[in-house]
Amino acid sequence: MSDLASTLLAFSPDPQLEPSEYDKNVKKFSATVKKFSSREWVKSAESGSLLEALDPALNSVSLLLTLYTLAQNQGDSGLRPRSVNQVSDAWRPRAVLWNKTEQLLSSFDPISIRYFGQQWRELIEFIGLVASILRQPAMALIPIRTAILRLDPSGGTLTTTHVVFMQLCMESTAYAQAVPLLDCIIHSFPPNASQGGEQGLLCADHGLSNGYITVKSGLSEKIRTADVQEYFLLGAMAFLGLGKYDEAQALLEHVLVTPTSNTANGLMLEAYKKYVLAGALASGQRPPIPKTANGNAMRTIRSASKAYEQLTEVLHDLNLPRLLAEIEAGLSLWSEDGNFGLVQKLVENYPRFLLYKLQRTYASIPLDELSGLLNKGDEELEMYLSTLIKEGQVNASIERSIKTQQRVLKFYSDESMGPKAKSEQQQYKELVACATRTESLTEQTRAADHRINLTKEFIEVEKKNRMKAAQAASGEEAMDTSWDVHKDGMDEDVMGDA
Amino acid sequence: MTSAVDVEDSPFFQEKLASGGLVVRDLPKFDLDSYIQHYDDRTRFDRLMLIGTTSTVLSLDALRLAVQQAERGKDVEAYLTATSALSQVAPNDPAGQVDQKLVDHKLKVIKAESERLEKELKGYRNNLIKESIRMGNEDLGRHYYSTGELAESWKAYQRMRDYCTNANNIVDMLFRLILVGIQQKQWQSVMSQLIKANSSGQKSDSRTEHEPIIKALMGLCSMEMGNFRQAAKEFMVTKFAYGNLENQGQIAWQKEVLTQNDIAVYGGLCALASMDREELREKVLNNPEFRQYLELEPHIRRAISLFCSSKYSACLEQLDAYRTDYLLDVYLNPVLRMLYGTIRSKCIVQYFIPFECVTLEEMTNAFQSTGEGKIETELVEMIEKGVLKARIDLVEGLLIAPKTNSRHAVQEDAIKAAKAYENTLRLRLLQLNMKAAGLEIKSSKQQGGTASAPSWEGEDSEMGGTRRGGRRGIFS
Repeated sequence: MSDLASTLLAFSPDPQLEPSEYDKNVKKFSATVKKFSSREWVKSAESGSLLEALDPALNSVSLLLTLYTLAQNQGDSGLRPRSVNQVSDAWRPRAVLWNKTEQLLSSFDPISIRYFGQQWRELIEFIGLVASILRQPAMALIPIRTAILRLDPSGGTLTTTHVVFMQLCMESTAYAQAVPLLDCIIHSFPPNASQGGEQGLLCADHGLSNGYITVKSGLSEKIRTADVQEYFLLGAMAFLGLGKYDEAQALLEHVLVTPTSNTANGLMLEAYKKYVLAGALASGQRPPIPKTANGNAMRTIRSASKAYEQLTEVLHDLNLPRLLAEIEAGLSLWSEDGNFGLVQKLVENYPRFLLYKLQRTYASIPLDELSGLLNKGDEELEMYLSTLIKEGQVNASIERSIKTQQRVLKFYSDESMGPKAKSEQQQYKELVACATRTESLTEQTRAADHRINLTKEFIEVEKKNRMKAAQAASGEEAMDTSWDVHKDGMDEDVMGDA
Repeated sequence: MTSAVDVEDSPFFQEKLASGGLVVRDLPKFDLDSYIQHYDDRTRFDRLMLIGTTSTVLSLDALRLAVQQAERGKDVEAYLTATSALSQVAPNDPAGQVDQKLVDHKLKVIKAESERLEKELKGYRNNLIKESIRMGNEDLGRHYYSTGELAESWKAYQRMRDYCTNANNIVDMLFRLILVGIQQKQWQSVMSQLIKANSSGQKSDSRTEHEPIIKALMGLCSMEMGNFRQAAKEFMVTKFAYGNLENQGQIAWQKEVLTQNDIAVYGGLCALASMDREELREKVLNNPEFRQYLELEPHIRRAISLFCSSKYSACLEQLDAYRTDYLLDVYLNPVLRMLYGTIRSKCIVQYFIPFECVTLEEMTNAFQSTGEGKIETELVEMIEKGVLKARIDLVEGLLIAPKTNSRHAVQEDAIKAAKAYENTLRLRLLQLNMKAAGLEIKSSKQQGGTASAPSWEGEDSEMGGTRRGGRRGIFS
């Protein structure tokens, strides 16, 4: 066995070590393996048993580096294959190296791997790329998601890997795979570097995952505004694909509240269009404008999405012929925006909206009458209704009237009765769950607040404020400044007139 | 002699029916001659025209009276409208033929008069005597008012403003403007003049004489604007002395705009439409001033009493009996549908309050006789509008009051509030984080001035284009 192989096999840091010791250990290893050229590496990997010998859980780092080097040297273009031919056979899904990578991603040691963030990230990006090139994007979904959540169980520091994963989800249309990740609350973004001192060591126990997921560690690239927006937009589209309109609406709201100096970007516009449709699909009417969104930006966006708002207005009136005409009129617009499918869903869900309205007006209604209103045959109607009831979309039940022996749909006025009824215990549970989530959010908000307190800008403003306060206390200084401002204004005016 | 049947078949009414206009076929309870003698001047003509063009039964009589009045008056336009309407209703009626000679003569006289008054005014202006200028404008305004040039009249009265020397003058001028405004049906502007008159009137000596008129007119105005509650309030405080007031602003308001009977009817209906039983008893029936008005229109008083004693269907029947009369009233006509509709839905709501559920049959018995369509559709409409809080059981034929499980509802509300809070917190956290990380969309127009993000490298180009290269000011 070569030097390299024995070094690799020997390295398995003990998690019991003090952070500083641990840190030293890993760094020493890193320096040692850097001496080996990639040729040597490939040779020893190919020579046989090295890959077999490395345990994904114990020798995570060694295995990662080996796989990374192999990927770098595969085919003609290494980590960036552009076509099927540029992916060597061993890397294809279910082939040797692919399987090894999958094993690694599902069982790596999340601490030591932090020291090789760039390799970790690029290897993930590589298998994502391979899956996408080979038109099997679904193959990479679970490995990548597992890896993200293994590195950061909260999944809350938004990394570029998150975005890559969401893109693959869209490509594969396996929307359900996105849900576990989307359920994680994004609580922070990777900072440029971690803080100094003992706490700054990558292996230390960080309260929040953004302590070690930094740009410097290579675990994520620098996040841009568009990345954040894209992640939420794609996530919302996944929910839309699953028919979970409420959740989709909530994520789209995240895009709409992007901080902005009175302007909007294309992603926000796209998000707003989908937001309107998602809201309409959820409740049958146009959703409210998010309170925390920038007013000017929203105005710009809304004026560019009149057609969508118009559509929801027509839907609200529950006038099917007009709805159809409106859809027909905007046909090219919907398909250009890629929203035609959603618009069609409006028509598909039309009977549901009608039922919502009937529910407000009627306590019970014979099925005969209903079949006329919803324009469905008897059997079709009953099927349709029982699906809706089963899915919990309407709180109602189909019964037989004692008096007339007719089949009857009975609506329940609130959720204390009927199939959707909730017991007090259930309500309590829901409330407690909500409170717990809010509490953890508060914790994260506090952390964010703390971060802000440490930014240069904050300190500068704070300094200025203190100076002002001091000036105000001494009195004379303050007088001077106000005089200066006044004089400046005068000067400018004089010039302007001349 | 043309009979009522012929009138109904006349091209005029056929056309009106075809275009969806309102045509009344029933005989009203009033007698045209004695009804119209309470009115004078333009409102008399307007009322006659409305009756003539709406009621098939009274059309001929009303239009003939209108033509007669117009022949005597100075308003050529009015004369032509009246004759044209009459000739359409009854082509053979001699009164419907335009007397061209009369028209020409009138036009000549009017023109001479206008020129004379304008010239006089010019003279006053040259002399710079305020009072004369004011009176000159007043004469001109009155002249234009009588010839039907309302816009000109308004302008002339407006011009008086600069020459008013005391509060009485101002109120006088405002009253004239108000009359013109009422004729033009510019209720918004009438209202604002009324408010001015009310505040200026406080300083004037004849405040007590102004007040009832202002209150009554405010009531009228509010009613025409669809604000029945406000209208009722104003009518309720109108002193009964209104009927015996001397002319204000040289206008006989009791004849030219509102009679005491009108106040009783308008006030009563508006109160019915906007007040609950308690208020009606307290502020209307037991109101010493307004009770005197109600003596004049006993059926209105009866309707209100019926409503107060929860006999809703009888109340509606009572009102329905007078529907024809009110449709022929110049001020009630445009708002009657809304007024009656409001009263009716109030009756239904009040009727339903004590019950947990009522059969639709019973509702039909109680309200069908006075309604237009099926009671069920009406109820559905009311529920959808949120006026009636109930749901319909089509199977058992019941109207059911909502059962609320308040314990459950409170829990649900708590969950909802908690979720909303969570969502807001989430969004705020995201915003906070994005701002802290410098992830902000910058306007392309902005020059990277303000306290900006730590670093901008690698920022996307999709949104801003020229983030850094904003155009600098020319003078910098």
